[in-house]
Amino acid sequence: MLRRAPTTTDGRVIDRHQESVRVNKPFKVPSPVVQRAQPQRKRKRVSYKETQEDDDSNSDSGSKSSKKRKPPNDSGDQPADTYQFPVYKPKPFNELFGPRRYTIPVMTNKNGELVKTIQSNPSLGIRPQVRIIPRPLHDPMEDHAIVLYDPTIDTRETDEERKEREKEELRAQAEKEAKEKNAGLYNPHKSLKELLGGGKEKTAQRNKVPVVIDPRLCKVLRPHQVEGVKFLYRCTTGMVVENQYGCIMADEMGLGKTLQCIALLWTLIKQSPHAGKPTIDKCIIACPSSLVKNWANELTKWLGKDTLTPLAVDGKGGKAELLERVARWVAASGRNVTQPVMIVSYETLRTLTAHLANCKIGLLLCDEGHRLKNSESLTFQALNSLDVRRRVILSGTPIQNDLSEYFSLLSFANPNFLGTKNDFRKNFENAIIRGRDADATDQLKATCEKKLKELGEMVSKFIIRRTNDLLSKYLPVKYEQVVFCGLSDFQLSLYKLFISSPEIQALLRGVDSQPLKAINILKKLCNHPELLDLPNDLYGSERLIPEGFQGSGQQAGAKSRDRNPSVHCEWSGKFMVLERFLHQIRTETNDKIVLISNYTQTLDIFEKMLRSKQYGYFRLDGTMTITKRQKLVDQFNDPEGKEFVFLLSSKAGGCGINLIGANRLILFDPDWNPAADQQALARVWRDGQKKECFVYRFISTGTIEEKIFQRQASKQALSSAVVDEKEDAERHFSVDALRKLFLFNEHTLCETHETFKCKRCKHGKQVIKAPALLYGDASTWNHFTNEELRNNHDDLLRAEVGYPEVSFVFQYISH
Amino acid sequence: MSPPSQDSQAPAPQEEEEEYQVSGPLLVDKLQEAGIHLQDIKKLTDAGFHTVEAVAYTSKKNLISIKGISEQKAEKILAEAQKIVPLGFQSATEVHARRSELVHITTGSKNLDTLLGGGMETGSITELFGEFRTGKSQLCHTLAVTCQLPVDMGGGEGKCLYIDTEGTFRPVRLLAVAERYGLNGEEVLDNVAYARAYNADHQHQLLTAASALMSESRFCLLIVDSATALYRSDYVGRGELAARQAHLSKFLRTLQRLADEFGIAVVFSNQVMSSPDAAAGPYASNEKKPIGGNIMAHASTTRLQFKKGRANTRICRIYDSPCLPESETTFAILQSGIGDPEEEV
Repeated sequence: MLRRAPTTTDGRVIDRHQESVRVNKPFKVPSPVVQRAQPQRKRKRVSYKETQEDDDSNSDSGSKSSKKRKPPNDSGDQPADTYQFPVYKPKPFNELFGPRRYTIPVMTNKNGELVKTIQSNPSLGIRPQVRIIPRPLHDPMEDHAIVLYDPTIDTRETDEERKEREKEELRAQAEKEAKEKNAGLYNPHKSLKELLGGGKEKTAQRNKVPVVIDPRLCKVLRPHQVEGVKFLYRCTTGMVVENQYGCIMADEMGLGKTLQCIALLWTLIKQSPHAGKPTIDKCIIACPSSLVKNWANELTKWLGKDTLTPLAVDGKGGKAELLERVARWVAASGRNVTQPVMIVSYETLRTLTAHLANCKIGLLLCDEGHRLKNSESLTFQALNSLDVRRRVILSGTPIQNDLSEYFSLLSFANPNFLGTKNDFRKNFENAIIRGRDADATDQLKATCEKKLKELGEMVSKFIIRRTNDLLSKYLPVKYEQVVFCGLSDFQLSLYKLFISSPEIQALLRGVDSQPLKAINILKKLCNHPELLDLPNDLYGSERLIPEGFQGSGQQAGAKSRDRNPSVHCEWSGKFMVLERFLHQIRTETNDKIVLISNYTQTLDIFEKMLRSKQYGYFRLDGTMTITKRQKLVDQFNDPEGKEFVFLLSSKAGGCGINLIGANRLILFDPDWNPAADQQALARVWRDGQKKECFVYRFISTGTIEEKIFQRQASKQALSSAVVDEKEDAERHFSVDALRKLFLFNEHTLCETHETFKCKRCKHGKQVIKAPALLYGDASTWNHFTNEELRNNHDDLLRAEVGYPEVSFVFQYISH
Repeated sequence: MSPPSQDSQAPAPQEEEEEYQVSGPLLVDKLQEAGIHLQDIKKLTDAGFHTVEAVAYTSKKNLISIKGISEQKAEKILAEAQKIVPLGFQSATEVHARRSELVHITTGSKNLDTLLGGGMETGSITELFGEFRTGKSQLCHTLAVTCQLPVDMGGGEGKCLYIDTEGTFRPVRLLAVAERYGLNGEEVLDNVAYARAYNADHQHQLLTAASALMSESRFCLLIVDSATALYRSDYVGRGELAARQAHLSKFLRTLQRLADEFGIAVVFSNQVMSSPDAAAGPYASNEKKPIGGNIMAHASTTRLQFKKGRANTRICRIYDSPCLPESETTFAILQSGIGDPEEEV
């Protein structure tokens, strides 16, 4: 056979061998057109040292640009995401997906610690659930495990179980009766359940399992907090008294109420004695609006990110969106609940009650629960109408003013436990109040004692209160001092003029004018005369006014402020002390300080003074938005921050703000409500504080402020007698003494001290050191006169020796 | 009541094994006890019937079509299977009780979970549709990891099957999501079975293999990303429409069967088309419609529509659901999978 040799298109015969080489020639990367040998770049060595030193701005820009250049280099090292992850060696497919049990991949947390996961193997979809051996969520036998509920110990039948059982029994009985009645008759009506043959196997009793606190919380809970959580759990599950599911958590500030409540919440949401079922589905945390965000942060702080996502109603987004979210929250149940916790302010919650009306809520936490002290208030009514049995009130200060407030708190937590308000008044309140008066007869005192005891017994089951003393183990020492400051000459003359004015005389005679206004004027005067609108406020004061005085009335114009930026500290005794304090802190320490006042005008004067001295400061008052507040606080707490003064209005942000960056605090004026002062004082000495703390409460000697301070003491004594059950809280003031508010005691060092009839002092000097300091009772504290301050531990107060302003000091040492 | 004795801790694994067997689907081998020949059972498994449920749920016609199974045999097998698997009525109380225990698989975004009432429902079919770059595949990747989480963290405690038709599967994304949850990356990847489907028939055949895998181990999620891409190109034009829909219907039916049989969550993505009959003009909304027609619409239990939002945020809308209200929410595509959009302060 003739074969033609293959030819190319132009007719050339192809050599087969050669052609295959041409086709199969290995691929080569095309070479570049121009070959150029690149010489190595030479670089001159230039020293920039001098230029840098010469020109500051140049060096600045230079360093910036070098910083900018860096990142691309960095990312150049790891060009793609792929390299971020290791490449694993593949395993044979059959081995992986053969008959092998599924196990949850190993889980680690951020710190690289193993997270224990428990496989529950639930049936998927709507396939029938298998019966699994009931097992607790967390292992109760593990080291340090905290068991809240142990079925071996607590075999009591709970309320729900009893109801369930009774229902079952009733049904069985009815069935039996029906059978007997219809015996022999033709009765085709069977229940559907019977027809379908289901529901029989369910009667088998399920074993209960222990309830154990999540190990990650166990690690951070302190012993007293564990006790607190146990208490909360017992109360909220009705293990204390049948059918009473509420309680009051009244620990003093800084003991970690929040953490305890989060532990409770988390346990209830995840566990119950019935394995795999939670105790509650949904929970509402009601708190002041400024704390909504704070609560959300605390949840992530303790439980970790994304563990529990709350529905934080913080006013973002519109009303319509809020309602939609709430509607979704209400609709969710069982496993569908994605946001088990709603954090909401009291005000918003009040408006939401209509939407929550048909929603079963497992737990209601009322933070700063003294909001509920008035059972007539709308907030109380609204919250009371919610369908929630477990109610926990959190409050550092359950009694603020009187016993009826205390009653309303209790009746909120446990409705119908103490009877109606009138019953309570008849049974307890009247007797107790009468017996606590200093002029009371022995008999009255005895009944008071008895009633107190009775009330205490009833109530102590639902209240847990620990004082700050516990904290001493974890916190540095706190020195709390009540500093009595004398008035300046200017203040003195004005004060005398005012109380001798016809208005006050009329007031004292009982011819009513405006006592509140008069009190306010005096309080302002004690802080600084410039707070007053002289001479309008005080008739006849013209001749006393010195050169350059600017009352509050004139300050309205901004121009005048600019003209005279300095503050006349010498016109106020307190300001002189403050000025010296600040100067010393600034020059000798790196401490930071918080200044608190009830009056924003006082803060204005502070500001003026600080500006003129060029001290850095922050100011937080009611005009500030919540997010802004948080930013400010964070900035201040940063140890690198230059600002060492924080001005705080006690009304605006007394609650919940955490200023541990500072270790000194001055409460510039006392408030009528001791709880408000307590709240303010606790901003600094709390968890996280590392330095020794010094808290000063400034009080003008002999003036109305001292009277207020005394009144506070009497209220506090009442509180501690009921809540703390301290038997030895002494009685100090008779009702009559409190009427002497407007008397001015010019020649005293400390009037309060005189009223104590102190047994430890001789000739105005403390001879016996205080044996035991009781926080709520200033008479048990150490006393110092100006001279004695020489021996004081505190540098600032020691420096006051010899100056006339500080006349007397009470000192409390935490431990 | 007796306390759970602590002694039970030791033999726990063994007991667990037992429990595990019960909780899983009943294997078709079980029919042997009912007197079915081993050979016939072999034939059943070859045809993709790996569990008794699968057999009980199928029609007689389908059984007969298996080579080597006669009509009498099919009748017998069916009768036996139906004895084992309850197929009758049950009271709504029971259904409600079971549904309240229903496991949902978290999407990674709390917003989305809230919208969906907890996440992707197990035991039902969820369809995701939307234009490209609307987050469908990202959601699929996230789900492939979250389904492995413990139930109390929003997972399903099971493996994942991933059928990919567009070639968009990127294990790196799984690792990124795993890192977010602190899961061991290697184990996470080991728990995802991946298959690339090359044509519509192949895609359907893969489900048979899937059913075999599921009968052997615990799976809780089947992802098909996207279910319709291959149909779109394999069947072109009006002429093949009927064939395409019939095939698609069969495919979806098999998905539904898997969901019923194993209780797994089935999630598939779907492509969109511009609706041709929408009025042109400036006011006509440019609403995209999911493809697959009525067959697709009826087959999926929950349909979710995805839209692009600002920057990395995406919008998810409930398009159709038996119980969820029609509403929408935003989520974000993050480095670590699907999450919530950053809150602007």
